[in-house]
Amino acid sequence: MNPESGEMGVSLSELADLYDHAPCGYLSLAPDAHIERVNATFLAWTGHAESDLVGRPFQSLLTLPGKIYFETHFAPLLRLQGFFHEVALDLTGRDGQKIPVLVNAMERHRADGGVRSIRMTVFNATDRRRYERDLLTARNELTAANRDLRAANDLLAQTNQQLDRTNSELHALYDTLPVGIFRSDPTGMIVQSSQRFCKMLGVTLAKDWANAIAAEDRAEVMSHWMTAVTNRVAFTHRFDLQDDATGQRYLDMKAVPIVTAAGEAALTGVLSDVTDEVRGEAQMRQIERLAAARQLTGGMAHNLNNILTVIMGNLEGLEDDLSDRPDRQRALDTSLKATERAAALVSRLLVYAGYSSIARSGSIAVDSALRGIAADLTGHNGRTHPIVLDLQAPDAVIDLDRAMLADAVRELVLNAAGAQPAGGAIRLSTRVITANGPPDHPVVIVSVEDQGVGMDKATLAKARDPFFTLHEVGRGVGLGLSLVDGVCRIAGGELRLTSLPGKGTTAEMHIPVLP
Amino acid sequence: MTATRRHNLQTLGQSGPLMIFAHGFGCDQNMWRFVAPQFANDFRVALFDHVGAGKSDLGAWSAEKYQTLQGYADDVIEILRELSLGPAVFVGHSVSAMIGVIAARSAPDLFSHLVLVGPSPRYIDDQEYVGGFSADQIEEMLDFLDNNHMGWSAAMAPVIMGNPDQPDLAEELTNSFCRTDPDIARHFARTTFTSDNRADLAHVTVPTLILQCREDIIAPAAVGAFVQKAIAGSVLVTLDATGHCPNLSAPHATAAAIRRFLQV
Repeated sequence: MNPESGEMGVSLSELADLYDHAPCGYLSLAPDAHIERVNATFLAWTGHAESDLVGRPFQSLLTLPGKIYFETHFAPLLRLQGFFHEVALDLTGRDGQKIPVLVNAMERHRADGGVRSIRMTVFNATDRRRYERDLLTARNELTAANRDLRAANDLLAQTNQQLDRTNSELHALYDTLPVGIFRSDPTGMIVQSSQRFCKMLGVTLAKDWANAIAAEDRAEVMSHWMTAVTNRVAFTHRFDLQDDATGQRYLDMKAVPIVTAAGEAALTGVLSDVTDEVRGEAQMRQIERLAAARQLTGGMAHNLNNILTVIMGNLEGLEDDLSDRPDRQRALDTSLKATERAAALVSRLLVYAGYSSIARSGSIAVDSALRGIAADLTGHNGRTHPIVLDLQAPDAVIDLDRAMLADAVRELVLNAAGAQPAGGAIRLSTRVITANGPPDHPVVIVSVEDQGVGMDKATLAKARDPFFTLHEVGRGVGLGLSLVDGVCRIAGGELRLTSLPGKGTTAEMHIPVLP
Repeated sequence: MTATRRHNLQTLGQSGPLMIFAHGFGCDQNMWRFVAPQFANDFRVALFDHVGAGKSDLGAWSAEKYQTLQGYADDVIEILRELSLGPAVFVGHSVSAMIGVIAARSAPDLFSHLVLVGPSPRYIDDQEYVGGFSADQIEEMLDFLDNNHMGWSAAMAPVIMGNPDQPDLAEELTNSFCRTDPDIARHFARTTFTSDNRADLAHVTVPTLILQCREDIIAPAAVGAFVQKAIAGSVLVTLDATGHCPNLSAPHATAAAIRRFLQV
């Protein structure tokens, strides 16, 4: 056998060359990792001389972090599993430059299992490390991008949540607002509305809102509506609805022009219930009107009264002077009677105007006084219109002159008689209620009720005005209800009238009961 | 979760005093696989993984608790209290040597002996004190770990995964050996290499053995001598071993030195 050849026909010099010039670094280490042998490729890569390396610990070729990591990780790993593969390390070259390498190592064991030596192959990993760095950079960028994306997503989710919340709040507001809300499309059709809008108008579908307009006005209102849509101007309409449950209701519809996303004109607005405001205003006007009428009446009556006093005094003086002129006696009597009638008239006007000193002069038991008054009246009217008594206030005493009460009741009975044909009964009743105002303050109600022709609203509103009369001209002067109204106010109460055309009228004198 | 579950506690031996082995930075309880079994006849041997290492419960890891070695020492105390087997021989490698010193200072009753393998109370030089590293060097190393996922941590992955020649070993290693979450490893490295526990040494009152490797760049001989001087009555034994892990590179010499110290 050729001493220069190995068993497989490879010469030792060929093997030595293969070892030295293999395309990887090759190191043999003692069990304690000191370098025993190193190939030419490794020396060429690192620039170290063989004599510099042999006898040195392998770790001494590493950077400081590499040394620590080698001691704490790779050396234990090698010992525990007998090898390691593809460990990334930086070697320090002779001139100090870092050489990135991948290292494989394997322990060779003795028969007793102890470590005989360590073989190590070293691959240049400069390109791979650059590639890894690029990967790392890319990964870091991706991580940053992901973080940004997550932040953006979080923000979006947060915004969405806020929008959802705002939306549901708006919806809740939209449906709970005490007004109806609506929006039309460019053709004028109402295409969106709150539930309340339909409910207030009593329609099922918002587009049918015009059904709530009185039939005779519908065409005109719709024409205004379409004009508002077309000309882009505001629209208002007041609905006057008859509601069986709540009576008359007034709704104000107000719309303003808007421009849709598509640039077309449409209307949007609110529908609000103004019944209370309308009623309040009407009541306020009525109160003001009555106050003015009373003031005017009182002033006039007061002055007339003074004038009448002068005329009366002079007429009485003339009576003495003309005692010897029987031919003038008749004229004088006529003048005196006319003056007395005028005085009676004026005193009624004073009562209406609330000059209480004239009428208020004592306390009377209501029921017993009414029995007498009714008996007197029956003498006048009983034959044509029977008076039905229903007196339920035996203990009620009021602060009023009996004659005044009699006058007032007579006026009411006369009105009731005039409102219905002969034979129609007039119901005269009393009852005591406890008013809501002052605590537990009782009020007696003297009620005169007929089933006559009744009055409509407009008539009812003016019924107590002085000189307002339903009778044809010449029958009565129209001071009846004015007087009753005044009597009630003098007694600290009020006159309440309710009437339905064709059903009859009820007049109620509400008068506080004396304690 | 109990401390023993949290730390993947493993036991060997049926009787005798308790002997507990603590691994250092970089690996897990496998570091003791050549040493610990040698004591199973005379001791109840316990091995565990620090939280964040090996098969410990990663969910128990907290950056705040493990900011200092005290957090790790508290774990040791908790384990010993839970085992409740009397005072223990504590064998700690590398940073765990100092974890043992801190634990023994906090709860001396739990310890009968300390065996400190490659201890260093401070890695960074400080005036007269020689820790073996300058502050800049340690900072450079920590920066390197912070900035280099691929270079170190990721390079570990192929190593511990494929091992077709020794499938049994591969299986075991794949699942446990030296597997560390890179972020936790970096944090542990910072806690370890910036620690300064020199002041704790004087408070050690239990018999202490210091095992120093002849040639160790992480815990040089001067550091071992410093520790021996600082702990009253301690014994320093220098092993004829190189590197930082005599428990792997010289397991018999390591075990023999411990036996002599414990007189068993």
